[in-house]
Order: sequence, then structure tokens, then C-alpha cells
Amino acid sequence: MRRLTRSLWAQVLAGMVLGAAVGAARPALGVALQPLGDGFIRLVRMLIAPIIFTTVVTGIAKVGGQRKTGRVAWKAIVAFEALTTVALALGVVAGIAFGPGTGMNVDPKRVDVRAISGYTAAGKALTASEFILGIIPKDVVDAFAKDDVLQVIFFSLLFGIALAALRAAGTEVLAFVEDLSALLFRVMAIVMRAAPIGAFGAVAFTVGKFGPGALVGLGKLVAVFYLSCGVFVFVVLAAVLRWSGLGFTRFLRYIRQELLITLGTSSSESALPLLMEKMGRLGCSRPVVGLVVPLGYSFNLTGTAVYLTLATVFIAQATNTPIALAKGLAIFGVLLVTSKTAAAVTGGGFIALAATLTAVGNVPLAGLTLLVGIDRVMSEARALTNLVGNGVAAVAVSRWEGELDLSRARAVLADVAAVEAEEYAAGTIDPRAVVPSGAELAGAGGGDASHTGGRPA
Amino acid sequence: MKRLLHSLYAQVLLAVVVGAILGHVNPALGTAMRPLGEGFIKLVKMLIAPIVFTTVVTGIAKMGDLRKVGRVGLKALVYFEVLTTLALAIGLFVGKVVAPGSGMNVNPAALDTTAIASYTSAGHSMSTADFLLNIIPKDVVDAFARGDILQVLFFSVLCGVALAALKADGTRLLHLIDGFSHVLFRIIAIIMRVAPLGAFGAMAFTVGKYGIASLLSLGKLIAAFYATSLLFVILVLGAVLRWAGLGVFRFLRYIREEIFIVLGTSSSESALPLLMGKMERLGCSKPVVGLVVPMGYSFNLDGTSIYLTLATLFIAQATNTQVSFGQEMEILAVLLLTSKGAAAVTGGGFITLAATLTAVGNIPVAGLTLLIGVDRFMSEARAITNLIGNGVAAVVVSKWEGELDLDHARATLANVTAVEAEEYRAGRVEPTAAVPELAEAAAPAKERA
Repeated sequence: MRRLTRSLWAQVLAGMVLGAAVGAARPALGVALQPLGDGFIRLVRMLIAPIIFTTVVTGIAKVGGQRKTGRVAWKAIVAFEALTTVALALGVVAGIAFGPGTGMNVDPKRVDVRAISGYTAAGKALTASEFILGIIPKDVVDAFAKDDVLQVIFFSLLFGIALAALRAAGTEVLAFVEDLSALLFRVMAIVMRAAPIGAFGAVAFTVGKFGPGALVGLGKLVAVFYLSCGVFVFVVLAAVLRWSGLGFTRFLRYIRQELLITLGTSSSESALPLLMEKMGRLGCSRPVVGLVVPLGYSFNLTGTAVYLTLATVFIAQATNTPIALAKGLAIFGVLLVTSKTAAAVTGGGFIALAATLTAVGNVPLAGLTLLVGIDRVMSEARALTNLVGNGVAAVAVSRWEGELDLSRARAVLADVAAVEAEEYAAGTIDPRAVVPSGAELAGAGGGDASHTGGRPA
Repeated sequence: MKRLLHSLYAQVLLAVVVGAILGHVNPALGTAMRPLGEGFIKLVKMLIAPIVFTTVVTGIAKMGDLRKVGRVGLKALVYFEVLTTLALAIGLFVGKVVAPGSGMNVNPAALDTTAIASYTSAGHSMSTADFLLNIIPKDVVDAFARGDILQVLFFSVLCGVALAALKADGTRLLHLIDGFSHVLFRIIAIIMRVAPLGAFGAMAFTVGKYGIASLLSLGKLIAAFYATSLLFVILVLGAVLRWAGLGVFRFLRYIREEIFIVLGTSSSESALPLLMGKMERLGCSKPVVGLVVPMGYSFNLDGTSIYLTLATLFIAQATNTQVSFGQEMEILAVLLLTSKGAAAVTGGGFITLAATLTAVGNIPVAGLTLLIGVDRFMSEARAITNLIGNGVAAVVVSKWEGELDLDHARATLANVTAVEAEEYRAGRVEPTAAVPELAEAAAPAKERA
């Protein structure tokens, strides 16, 4: 019991249950608790850019050499393209099959568009050359200051390749970046202690604001979306993982802590550093993880992809806009691009949706207003699917590279707690590298050690 | 042939020719190639602030070392300052007289639409007090984020002086900053691989937009630069050598091997170890050479200095930007700092130029687009002038110290081949083994070649 209360995932779960209870009993209080959730997400977000920089740089510098980096990045992009295309297709199929918006008969001219003006402005379609030039920072420090993840990744790639090329002359800088990385992960471990509070606040807000009743009107859309995400995760991602040689339910159990934090905060970003560390411990090549997971957060948003097509079809149905097959394919094509550029514009799925509608043309942008109210509810499933998709991508690309330690991965998944505790006791996990979950393990492993230590050897 | 295609020089040349043809044949398509040139400039620009910081800090901190070495270091510094200032002034003078860029009538807004606002706002005249106060950053990180080079320079100078004052306590930090500077220059080397693409785009755009006549202006700039460099070597460096008691043409003949190596790699760094050995054999004092030549590679870049002022004026003329006398002095002052430690790395001069334009403010940085295509063709003359300047510096400082064996030097120069043959027989000095810490510095340059 003591072990349970000390473990982070149990605390996060408790925070969520408590939050839901507060939100349901006293909606006003629940809404007022929003800053707790937002504050936690901000705490994590402030560390994302430097963490991406240090992990990408050390990852590449250790792999040594551009050729390998290029190959891994290329494989990652292929995997991302394949996964997001399947996800987009799934959204279209589900939207057409279930027709969640049919019969709503919304007149786009009578919808108040003020609520979405911010998104539509940000969603202005970028041209290809603008997008590519936009990846180059105005100034390196500016990329970090503005927290532009794509720019940070771009500079980190260059920096890592240059560092690898310097070989011995670069050891000092590499050691420094590694120290910095360890420090940042340690800061993250401290921040993660606040995860239960963040989950509590965020869930209390969502339940208090929207309540169970708010969902009924658009309930069909939400239900179809959750169903589609479920199908994607349990069929598509599970198949990919099976191909890599691992069992899916065990994998989900292994990343339960990350899932809960994502569910609680409805932001997959908040679990990014945790996920990277955990994939490394699973037996994925660390340089691969260092490259694939941060890139995946920009280019492998599978949950967002399902959402984008489904929501587009939904708006078309609700506003009685007929979509011919050709138009449907056009939407699909546009989304293949916008679902990637979503990452370049912070704010995520909703802005990408606005961009898509703008680009497609005949589906009224005003229809977005319908979604504003329930976006938060759908973002839970979106974030969870994104998270699982990135974890699976890290495993699959490692496997593809032939750098997945399969026997280790199986052992870890077979007995998550035991392997983790044993590793901690044996000291094979570098305590510096062990992240939040390390803090959890310190409690768990320490507890185990005192049990065995109590018996005479 | 294969080697030729692999050399960046040939690739850039090819790209420039293809770009110019495309721009001439199909102006619309040529103009549409603008993002290629613009992207290349952006790649270079994003690194300016950190590179200025690391080079100026390490430069000043090491200059502190230099002073510690004493009289020789001080003399070398004085000589370097005088010569580079002279070179900067000559570049400025030639730029004003020849005016290679006038008549191009380039509209900077067409070069980089995103950046117009900053020029127009920077164009407002500022009072001296405002100007001085603006050099102090609101916040140190803010200065880097906004890429305000004057502010970054100000902070870097403070950091460098403080680091030098820390002496031994600062060595670890100095090493680290030096390491970062290596990484950054390595990134520049990577970026330079796409220079052909940038040169192609820039050339296609320039010719497409401003017509084939714009090539004439660029040709004028190259011609002016080569002529100035030649005159600088023969007149200025020649006079300095004459004072030391040697003839400049014989001296050039003596170091012809190094000149050819530099010509091949277009980086004066690659010939550094060879030059040091040769200066010693000429009769210069060994400790003086060991100090003056390596430091000269950071502080005595004569060719780069000429290029910087000349190119700055070229861009100002091409974009019809008025440069007042005060601004000319400002350019000189900024360059006195940025041209130091700009490193004799390929592409280093381009970075410094970008930094200078950013610092001066009212000359559009986007004007660099005009130079991408031709920068490579000037880097040869730049590197060779730098090399000769450093050889001469070793001779002059030795002479100043009274440690130049003038008879030996004259005899060597009088009969180069005989002396060389004798030395070969005696077993050629292995350049890198003689100065181990320089082997490392030379290695990347060789790799690049």
C-alpha cells in the first residue's frame, strides 16, 4: 500500500479521480482550478526546447556520423508517413460510416465566428518555401526563446552532426551537453512530482466546465472519435508492435505512468521527456530514441490525424456540404501536409484544422465553432493516441535499424516492476539518467531492498 | 575531373554560371529562385550572434595570454592593429573611389521581404546618447535572441575581459567556449556545402531581376578586390619588408609553396604549420614565430579586412544606401572587433560581413544575397593576403625584437632553390610534428581540402 501511494502513476490517478469528483460536485470550484493544470503544463513546456536540444545532440554525437543519422531520420519519416496516413484514412472512413454530423443542419452564416477568430488567423496556409524557410531560425537563441520546436530540432541536428565530425576535439563540449541533459532531466524529475496536482486541476476544470451533460449534444462525434482512436491504437499500433516482436497490452502497462500524465493534462508534450527515458530503458537504441521521439512530436501526430479528417467530415455533414469523392481525396491530400505543419504552429490540432478548411475551400470555416466546446474533451484521446504512436514508432524504428534489444525488451515488459527494481538495485541505471520514474523507483526499489535486507542473507 | 567536381569551388562556379544563364533566359523563373539564396543567408545569419560571442570572448581572453608573454606579444598586437586598420581603411578608400556597386539600384525589399521593417526603423537618426545606451542590452539573452550584434559584441567584450582577468580560474570556461566555437565553425562548414545551391539561387535571382548588367558590377567588385589586395601586398607589405631589410618579390618566391596550398584550399589555416617552419628557417627567432604566426591567424587578417570594408560599401552602393562619415567610422570600429578572431576558416569572412552589416544597421543585410555567388572567388585572394601578411608579421616583429638573422635571411632569399635543396637533403622538417598543438588546427582544414 505504501508503495502504491508513493508511485507517481497512482498519485496521478488519485488526482484525476479527485478532480472529477470536485468538478462534478462543485462546477464553479472546478473551473477555478484551471491554473493548476495550466501551470503544470507550463512547467513541462519550459523544459522541452532545451531537453530536445541536449538529447538530440548527444544522441547524434554518440551515434557518430551523418550517414547513420540520415538513415535513422529517413526511416523515422517513412514510419511517420505510413502511420499518419493510416490514421487520416481511418478518420475519413469512420466519419463517412457513422455520419456523426448528419442531421444537424447548421447554417454556417448564422454561426458566431468570434470564438474561432484567433485560430483562423493562425491557420493561414503556409506555402512550401515559407514552411521550409521557417524551419531555419532567425537566430539560434531566438529559436529557444520562442520555443519553436522545429527550429530547435533543426539547429540541434546541425550541432550534433558538427560535434560528431569534430571527434576528439569535441569531447569537452559533448561532456558539457551531457551534463546539461542530466541536469534538465533532474529538473524534470522535480517538476513531475507536481503531476498529480496538475492532473487534479485539469480534470476538475474539464468536468466542471463541460460537465457530463455538455457532451450529449456532440456526443456522437466524441464517441466516434474515441472509437476511431481505440481502433487505431489497438489494431494498427498493436500490429506494428507485434511486428517488432512485442506484446501490446504489456507495452501499454509499461508506459502507464506516461498515459496517465497525458490523460490528466490532456497534453502529450508533458510526457515527452518521460517517454524518451522509458523507451531507452526498454532496450531501444538511445540515439534512435533521441531522434525519433522529438521528431515524432512534430511529424507523428497520429491522434491529431484521426481527429483532423473526422472533424472535417463532421463539419461538412453538419453544414450539409456535399463532399464528392474527388473533394474527399483533396481533403486527404491537404491533410497529409497540414497535419505535419501543425507542429510548426503552436496550438496544435485546432489550428491545423482551421488551416485545412481554409485550404480546402468549400467546407465552411465557421463550422469550427461547433467544435470549440468539445475540443478539450477530444484532446484527451488525441494526446493519448499521439503518445502511444510515438512510443511505438521508437520501438519500430529501433527494430528496423536492428538496434532493438529484443530479449531485454521482452524481459522488461514481462515483469516491469521486477526488472526496474532489480536494475535500480544493481545500479545499472545511471541514477543521473533516471528520470521521474527513477524517483518512483527509488521509492519502490528502496522499499524492496529493505524487505530483502531485513532477512539474514 | 572527378576531383574537380567534388571541389566546392568548381560547384559554386558551375552554379553561378547556370544561375546566371537561367536568370538571363527566363527572368521570371530566375526571380522565383530567390528562396534558395534567401535560405542560405538565413542559415548563415542564425549563427552570427553565437559565433561573434565565442570568437570575441576567446579572442580577448587569449589576448590576455598574449600580453602575459610580454614584450613580443605587445609588439605583435601593436603591429597587427596598425596593419589591419590600414587594410580596413584601404578597402574603404577603394570602395569609395571605384564604387563597384553604384548603379545596381537594388531594392532591398525585393531581396528579403520579411526584413524591410527593421531597416526602415533602424534608419531613424539616433542621438549619440541613445545610440550608446542602445549598445547595452536590456537583457543578455534578449540581445542574443534578437540578434543585436552591437549588444552581443558589448557583452562579449565584457565577458572576454572578465575571463582574461580570472586567469587560471577561467581556463575551464575558456576551453568550453573555445569548444563551442569549434562546433559552430563546423556547422558553418556543413552549411557551406549547400553554398552552390545558394549561389545558384542568388545568381538566378540577381540576373533575373536586375538583368545581365548586374554581373558587370559584381565583376567590378572582384576586380577591385584583387587589385587592392595585390597593391596592399606589394606596396604596404613591401614597404614593411623593405624596412626590415628584405625584398618582397624574393620573399613571395620563398613562400610560393604555401601560397599554392592556400590557393587550393582557399583557407589560410591549411598552410599555418608550413609557414611557421619556413619563417624559422628564414632566420626569424623561433619563439617570435611560435607566438606571432598563430596569433596572426586570429588577429592579423589583412585580406579579410580589405574585403570587409570593400564589400560593406559595395552593398551600400548597390542598394543606394547613404553612408555618412560617422557611419564609416562606425563600420571601421565594429570591424576592428569582428575582424579579429573571425578565424581563417572558409566562410569565416562571410559570417563577419553579415555580423558587421547587422551591427551597422542601415545597410540591408539582405544585400548579402548579391555576394553569395561571388564570395568564393574572393576568398582566394583573401586567404593569400592573410598568409603573406602573417609571414611578413613574423619577419617584422623579429626585426623589431632585434632577433632577425638578416644575413641568413638575405642569403636564403637570394638563392631559394639552393637553400631548399640543401634542406631537403638534410631531411625536411615535419611541419605538424614540430608544433603538435597546431596539427589539430590544421587537420580540419586538410580534411576540407
